[in-house]
Amino acid sequence: MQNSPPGAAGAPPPESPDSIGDLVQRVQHGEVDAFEALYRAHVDRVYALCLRMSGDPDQAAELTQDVFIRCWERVGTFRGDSRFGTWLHRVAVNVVLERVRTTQRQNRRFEVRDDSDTLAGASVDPHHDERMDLERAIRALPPKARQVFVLHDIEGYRHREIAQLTGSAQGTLRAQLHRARKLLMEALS
Amino acid sequence: MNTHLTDDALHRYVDGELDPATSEACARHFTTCEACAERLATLEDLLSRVESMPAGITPPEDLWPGLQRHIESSKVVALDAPSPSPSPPPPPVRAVSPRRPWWTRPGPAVAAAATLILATASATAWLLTHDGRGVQSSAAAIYASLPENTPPQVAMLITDYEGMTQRLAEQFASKRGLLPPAAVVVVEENLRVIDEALGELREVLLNDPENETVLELLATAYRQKVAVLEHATESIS
Repeated sequence: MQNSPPGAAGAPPPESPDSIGDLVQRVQHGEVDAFEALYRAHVDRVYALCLRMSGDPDQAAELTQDVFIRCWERVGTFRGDSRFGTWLHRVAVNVVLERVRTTQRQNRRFEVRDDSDTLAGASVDPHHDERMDLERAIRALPPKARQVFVLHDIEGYRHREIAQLTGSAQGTLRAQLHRARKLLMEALS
Repeated sequence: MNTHLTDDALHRYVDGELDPATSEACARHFTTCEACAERLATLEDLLSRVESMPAGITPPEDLWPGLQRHIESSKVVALDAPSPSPSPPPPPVRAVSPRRPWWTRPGPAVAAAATLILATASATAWLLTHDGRGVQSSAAAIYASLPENTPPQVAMLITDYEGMTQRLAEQFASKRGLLPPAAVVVVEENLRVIDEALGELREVLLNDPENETVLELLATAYRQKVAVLEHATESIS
């Protein structure tokens, strides 16, 4: 698994407004090769979000495809009043949260608990690459804590925005965020 | 401050969520309490490591071939994209912060968007009383009908939810015959109540577009509608 060049987590890839605008217009006309160019420019960022939110590489791949399918279907709604990467990112968050809601409902039927005080299977190798340790530790977080942590600390959403996206109260979200940070600090210490 | 900081206070301090006086008191506390200073350093170290995480991760395998096959077989975009002029002008780019909460955007745009919500919510309800044929996701049509000055996040929220509920309504409509009639009645009644709530929220928004509570209730009503449709569809699967 390769990583894009390091940078502030949450920052969209640099894009030339003219080139992206041109590609988007061509996609809106149905040009698949233009869509591939947009895909190549943004897939790493989308996959990172999907992987970190889902905690599962296989599901992340499926979610990434779903995101770009949704993008293809909805590209006609992009009017250029924000960066395309920002718009696509929002689409990705919605796709992931839809899947999370469905999975949570299924888990409730089988009484899967989300109140663990430790990271699932967390055995951090002190000799391993530090970045992989953090990525792995995040993936091992309990689902709700992981989602809030990724959206707030990695993707930069505010509590109010996350509350609006997830339907959870801000107090609950803060508690989940603090819990996630505490678990990560314990795992990485 | 004689005692240690609570976890909540520590996290809020780091996130800049404390009022100035409390924040200043915390800062003074860190200079005299080694234990809390160490907790602060550990938390800041974690957030620093998060900050340096890569923005993107390359998928282990190329997902494009599967995506391309789907696109080539569906070619959905031609149906959804608005009819373009031969040489459409480049869209104006407005400097809009993607992080600003959408409900802080007051004015007629929100009210107009709420009007649209009622119209499309009614369309969804109609769908459930008919066989659903001929109804396709029309996110572009919904988006295109919004006023030009509709805040982007408001428009996206409405488009997302309307698109989602239309899609779910189509799925439900195609399978409703497999449900007991009594169950269909219950689902449709639930949706009728939610659509009524959406309509009432619209009325309030027209008079008070800056009402945060109403805007959040609107989002909640949409989520409820999605939940009802998802439950109904999954119960058939």
